[in-house]
Amino acid sequence: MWNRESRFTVLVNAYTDDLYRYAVWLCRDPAVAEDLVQETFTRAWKALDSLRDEKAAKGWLITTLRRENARRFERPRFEYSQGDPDDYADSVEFYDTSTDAFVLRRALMQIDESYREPLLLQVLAGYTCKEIASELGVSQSAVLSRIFRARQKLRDILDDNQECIEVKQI
Amino acid sequence: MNCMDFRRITLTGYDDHDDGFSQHRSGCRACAQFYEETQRFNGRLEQSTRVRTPDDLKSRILLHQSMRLEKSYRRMRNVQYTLVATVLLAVGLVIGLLHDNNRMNLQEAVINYVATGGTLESIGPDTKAGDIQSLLTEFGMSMSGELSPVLHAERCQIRNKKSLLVQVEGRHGPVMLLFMPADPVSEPIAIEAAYFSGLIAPCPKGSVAIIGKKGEDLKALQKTVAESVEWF
Repeated sequence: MWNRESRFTVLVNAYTDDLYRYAVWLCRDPAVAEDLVQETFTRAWKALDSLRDEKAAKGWLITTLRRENARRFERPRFEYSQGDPDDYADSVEFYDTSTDAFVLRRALMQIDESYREPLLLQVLAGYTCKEIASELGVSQSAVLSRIFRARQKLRDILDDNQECIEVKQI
Repeated sequence: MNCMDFRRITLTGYDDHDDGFSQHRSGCRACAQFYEETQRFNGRLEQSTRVRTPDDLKSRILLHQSMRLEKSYRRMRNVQYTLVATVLLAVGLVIGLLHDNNRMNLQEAVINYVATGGTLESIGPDTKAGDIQSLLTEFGMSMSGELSPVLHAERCQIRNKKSLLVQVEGRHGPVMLLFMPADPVSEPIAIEAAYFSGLIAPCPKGSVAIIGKKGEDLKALQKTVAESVEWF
């Protein structure tokens, strides 16, 4: 039987990367993302005994992080930037530095948050539609519709970009 | 499964595919191509959104938590120490209060008793002979000979221990004999105060303090007590 400290250390080592990545895309500010991840783990520590199934840990932590993110808007003393896509791209260290990836990230930033978040939960967290619906508190059909539209918008933006590049090349 | 359903699942279902889905994929080339493109796009999206976690973030989280833990342990320890100290202090105070008189040495206790409660003025004979006898019996002794008559006898407390005060007639007035069965002494202890003098002498059961006015022959009285009191 693991003690609390060991369980906590395992969670931190296993999920910090995923949480940070999700937090960066959620708040678009790496410094705030770090705070969010730290705060998420602080809360996780306090509620660690309520986590019965280790397999549910990732979902549990992501839910906590989303709540923390929502909570920061309830604190009027801080002003958080919504992140200009260019500034954001400069301040975050991405693994993929190709032009293709840059264009894709910019496109992702341009789509509306209500469409982007279900897509991120699907791609980054590997959630099913049912899980996303439960996380966002909307119906499954609404999730399906939002993901579908998110992808469509992404494709539209990318297609436009491609056309621009081709025109410039001509 | 028709093409529309297949594409809807491809776009939204991620890995949530069933047999019908697989059959349609192998039967419809266009949909299979759509599926491959979508998978490639998902891969690109996943790859492009990867960010490098700051190197020290995990260590900072663990350090932060261990510091919080240490702080809470320290707070808990402080509370425990405070509780233990409070309990010890309370126990000390209670023991101190209960045994305040016991801590006073026997000599001081006798002087204190005589100066505040006892009297060297004659207060007898107001105790019936039968009562005196029963009191003496209670303390396991009897008196005879030169110490009679007993003017007065009563139970008293010396250092919170049950003792017996017996007043007899001395040469210079009443003499107090304080029998203290629970306070033995190994040798006689002299008592000197402003208006009286005395000594505490060993006896078969504890000790006896003999107090008289200045000038009383205490040695003689000690000898008389030793001869006249019979212990049983």
